[in-house]
Amino acid sequence: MRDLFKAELLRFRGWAIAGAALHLLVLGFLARVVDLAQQPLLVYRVFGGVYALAGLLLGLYQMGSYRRPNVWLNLLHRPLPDWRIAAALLGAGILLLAVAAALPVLLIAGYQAGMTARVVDLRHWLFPLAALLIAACGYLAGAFCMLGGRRYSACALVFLALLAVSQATGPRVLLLQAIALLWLAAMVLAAFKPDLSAPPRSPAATAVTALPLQMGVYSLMLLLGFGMEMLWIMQGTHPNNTGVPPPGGHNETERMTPQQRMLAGLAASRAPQAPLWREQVALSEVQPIGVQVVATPVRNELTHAAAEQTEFDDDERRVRWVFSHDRMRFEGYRLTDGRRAGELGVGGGDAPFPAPAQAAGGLPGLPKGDGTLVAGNVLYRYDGAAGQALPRIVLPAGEILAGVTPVGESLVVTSDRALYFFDGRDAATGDALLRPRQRLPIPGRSGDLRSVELIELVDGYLVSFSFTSYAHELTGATPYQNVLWVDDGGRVTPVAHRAMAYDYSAPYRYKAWWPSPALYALRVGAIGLFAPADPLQATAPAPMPRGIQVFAGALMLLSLLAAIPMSLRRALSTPARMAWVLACGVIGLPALASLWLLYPARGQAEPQRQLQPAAA
Amino acid sequence: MSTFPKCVGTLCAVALALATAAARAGAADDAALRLAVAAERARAPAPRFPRSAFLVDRAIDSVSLSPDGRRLAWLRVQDGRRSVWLQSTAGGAPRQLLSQTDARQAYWSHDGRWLLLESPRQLFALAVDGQGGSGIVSTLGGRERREVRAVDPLRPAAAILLERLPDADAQGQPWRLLRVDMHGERTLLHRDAHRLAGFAFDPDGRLAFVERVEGDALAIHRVDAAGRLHEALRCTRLERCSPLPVTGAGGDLLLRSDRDGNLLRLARLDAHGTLHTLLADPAGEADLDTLALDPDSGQPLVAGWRSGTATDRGLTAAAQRAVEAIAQRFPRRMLDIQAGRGPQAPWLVGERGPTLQAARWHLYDPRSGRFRQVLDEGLRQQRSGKPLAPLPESALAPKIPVAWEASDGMRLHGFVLLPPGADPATRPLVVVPHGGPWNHDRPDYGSIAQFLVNRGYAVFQPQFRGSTGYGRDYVLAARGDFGNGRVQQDIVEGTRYLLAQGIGDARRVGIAGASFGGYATLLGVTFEPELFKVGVAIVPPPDFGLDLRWVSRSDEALNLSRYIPFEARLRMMSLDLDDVAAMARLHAQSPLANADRMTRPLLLIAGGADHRVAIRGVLGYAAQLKLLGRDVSLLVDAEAGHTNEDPLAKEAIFYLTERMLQRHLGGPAPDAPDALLRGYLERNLRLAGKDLRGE
Repeated sequence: MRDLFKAELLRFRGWAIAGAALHLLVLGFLARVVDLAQQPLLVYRVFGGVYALAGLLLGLYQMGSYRRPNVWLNLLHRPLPDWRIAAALLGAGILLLAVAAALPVLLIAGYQAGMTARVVDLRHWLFPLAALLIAACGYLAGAFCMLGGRRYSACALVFLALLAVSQATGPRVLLLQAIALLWLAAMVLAAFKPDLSAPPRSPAATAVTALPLQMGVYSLMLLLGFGMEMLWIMQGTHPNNTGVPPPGGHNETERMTPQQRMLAGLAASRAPQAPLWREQVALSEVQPIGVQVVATPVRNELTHAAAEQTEFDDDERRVRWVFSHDRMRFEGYRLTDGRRAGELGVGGGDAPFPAPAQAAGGLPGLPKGDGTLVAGNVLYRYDGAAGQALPRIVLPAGEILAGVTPVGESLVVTSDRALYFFDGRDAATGDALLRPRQRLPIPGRSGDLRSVELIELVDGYLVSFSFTSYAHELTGATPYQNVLWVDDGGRVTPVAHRAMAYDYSAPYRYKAWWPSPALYALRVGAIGLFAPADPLQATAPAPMPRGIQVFAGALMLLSLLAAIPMSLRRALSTPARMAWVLACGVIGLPALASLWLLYPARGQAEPQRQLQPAAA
Repeated sequence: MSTFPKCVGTLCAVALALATAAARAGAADDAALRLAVAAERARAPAPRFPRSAFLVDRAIDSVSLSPDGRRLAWLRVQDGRRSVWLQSTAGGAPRQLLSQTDARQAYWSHDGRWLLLESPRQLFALAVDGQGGSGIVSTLGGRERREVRAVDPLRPAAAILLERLPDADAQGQPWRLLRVDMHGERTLLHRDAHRLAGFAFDPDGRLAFVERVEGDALAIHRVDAAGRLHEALRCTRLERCSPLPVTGAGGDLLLRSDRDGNLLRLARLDAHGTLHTLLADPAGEADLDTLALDPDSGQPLVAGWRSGTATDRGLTAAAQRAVEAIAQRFPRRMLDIQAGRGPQAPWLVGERGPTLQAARWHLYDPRSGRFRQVLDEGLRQQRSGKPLAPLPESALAPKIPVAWEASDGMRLHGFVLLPPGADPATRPLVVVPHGGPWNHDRPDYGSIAQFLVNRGYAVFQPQFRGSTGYGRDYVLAARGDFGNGRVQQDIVEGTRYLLAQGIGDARRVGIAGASFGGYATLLGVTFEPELFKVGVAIVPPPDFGLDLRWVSRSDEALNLSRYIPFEARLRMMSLDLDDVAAMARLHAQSPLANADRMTRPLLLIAGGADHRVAIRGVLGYAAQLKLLGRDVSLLVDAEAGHTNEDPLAKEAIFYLTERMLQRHLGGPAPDAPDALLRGYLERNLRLAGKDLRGE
């Protein structure tokens, strides 16, 4: 085993060393140009994709070189159990990937930590391990693609897709990657048998292979749907890209200007002031209310959707402040020479922030170089001259502060639950906490909220909320628009409720669900595994139409019925046959397709090689 | 037989005497007005000038004479860029010291070796004697709201700063008075828990008095040798008390004050806390306005009054002789006098007036009595930036002071401007109330008034009660009645008074104004449609009470009321924002609540970034008028604040005003707008009434 391991190492050492050198060169160059520890999620996804691809290619090549029957038999024809041979090959491959993928990352992290004033937290030291796990997952997926049955071996790729779309955060990402790695290892071991074309031999091996296969089929169905949607778009009749959006639908609302949207909302109002407000809206520049925090940051998360907000520059003092999850404070370094420039916490004592903080831009009237920071439910003012962050707005505990927008002489603060209106007086220069003059609860869920806009009235504000974000799919609310009036005293009066039509049919919206409700649930569970719930993304899904439920049930029944004759034509034991029929009934079409892919029909099975007497 | 008590008889006699005196004063006012009108009628008519001739900027700004009188420094403005210039008063070519600066003011250090350049962000010291060391003296503004209060009046080269420390660093005493030298070295002079409003040094340079804001009052404290404070004077109920920077003889505090009186005057506070008037308006009508100080001793030298007729007076015999000589040379001018140190040094005399489009600057030699004009840089067209000769004085209208008696007996003031060479009775009359309302028109050049006069309109600028410049009683006489009440009545009565005097054609009266003047315009066309046939309201709050409340919640409140808190100040002016009944009354009398009564053609002009007048109010009001089908036009410049500095926007205001007045008062048609102006109007005109649609 050790010899085989060493041989494999020697076989690929050149590639590994060259790969590591190239990787180090690229990272080194980038580290000179940017802070690699503070990059947007997309950058890390690209790197992760490259690592997975490198592993995949290694797995395909390495196992491909053994796959020919004589070589394969020669490989297994050793006085070692199959799993030990597999372990030797796979161990060598993973070690090579550690050299090529993880070691350069580790070296660059060491460089940043030791030779620069940049922030390197514990989470950054986990990057090499994450790189190794991703590369190893790619490698095992590649190995399975080569060793598994040709009809289904590509199903291992679903784990790579899972790594790409998982919402897990922090060190728990590594746990998810490790689970994927172990599953893939189990798949490879299940496939590591003398007859590579034969279906899995044991029930456990069957389960280990069949589940990713069913998820793969399910994913393929979604991909086919996506392909059809592309054709639809190319045809020019897709609601998203028609010249004129369908009237009364959510696309039409989304394409409106803020002023048109508010007028559309008011058109549905029976309030006595509505005619006057319509006139005023027509004369006004309707103010869109934005957010600066698009996703709630989580402490020790490896990456963040808006990583650029975890740092900000004080242009007046030429200092860059970067948030450290270890210290829960901003660490500064000078933009002129890169030297450390101190630490920024809350108040004069530089206390740690209660939650990961993000820069939220400036406010009118702030001195040059100053800005605002958001952490949890608190908005801080960054005071560059004093080198302090001072809490100015504190929302009720449990709410997430998502953004602040200057409106006229006031500040409008958006949380996941409400809008708060603050007087502009002292906002820029004072020290004390500001008290809201009005609070306007959001009439819906934050995740569904697509746009908020308002105009200032003589007495208060007229605010329009449009809930259309996920109206095109099953997680979203039924699209609607609410217009509310909050008067100067804070009293909220509903002005209009406008229900919008769906631009997509129910089968389209539920296309991820009806092919297999069970696998949809599995998909949601897998993607959300180890992921904290983000209040900013919470939605209120619309009730599922009865027709869709009936349709999905019919498909499941059809699969069950179809599985009976299909399983009879496969070489399956009775318990296995019953299990498959049941699985087809529960899982639906993907299970039926898996049955078809995993077990060729008796008639189509490769003919057993018959030993024929040699001709004399 | 019963008889009247003696006191009743006495009262009747006094009332009769007062009435007789008032009638005599009124008759004198009328006679003076008739004389002035006749003089204007006798002049040659003025040619019509293009709009652009009135849309000009001065090319020089912030002219400052060095204390020794040997040098002049000024800021030159060209294409929006400011540069710093220096010239010897002995002659020679001007020298550019800095090609670019963001400074808004330039002034000298006490020793005259440094030129201090103050911008909103910093105070910069420029070494002008070749000594080196130019640099930033202090940053300004920021979180500490640091501001320059004065050049140190006694130290050779220092400035006095005021700042407010953040609460966390303040240790209960956030307000700090600092001395800072030209190298930025600071010396703490005083720190206080109360906001500091003023200070005075004794001749040895020791801090002798500080003035603090204590609640709604200003309290002046004497500072003893140990730094302890002893209250010397308390000014309440909006009494004005502003210490001069150096104490007078015997350590007495010199201050401008209206305490124990009505008019702002120069006063002395003796050691016993008694206030003595040193100098007040000889005519007994106006507040003290300007005060030139001796550059050596910091003592007052020349006082000036600017509310009606500009007047100046020297405080020493030599100064009075000099002032008389200057006034003789430049009669009826608003003078900006800066004295040099000692009898040998020349004085700088700035000359302004209603018919002077560009200020003129002269050097006056007190020994020879000779004058020499300096800094003749003229004007620049706002839009093109091209140099332009000022309009001839003969073509511009002087501001004729007018006074009339209101229906409640109060004597009110104003100005009227008449087209030269025309019968004023046949001229359409445009009433232009000033903004504020706590402000006043000065006897100075005003572009919009001169433009309207050039188009043949008589212009009336009423100084309604509530206006400043005529004493505290004049301001407080408004008693918060800013709705369709006493203040508006002053404007209406003043207009009727002028019509009765044969000024203006009663069938052709319009009203136009900005800010509070715009509000008065809305009130005028709403409640006096028979008098005012058309209105042009620029940045008008359609509900004064609502706008005050809005301002009180914004940062602008801090800018509008530097010392006494904004709400307290309003309360003392009978505008208590918490007084529900008073606010309801203001609202009930507002143009906003009475939009249905507005039947005259109206042009509204507003700024989208106005910090003083809520755009929401203007839009809400315009929407109401539109819904009611009124003839209203609305122009909103989204980028503009309370004043619009964009030359194109200024020309748009001139053009639209001229067009509205022409359509309804029968003036001459405006010159057609060029392509750029048309584009601006298309972009910003959100509502076009009949006049602007050409119907």
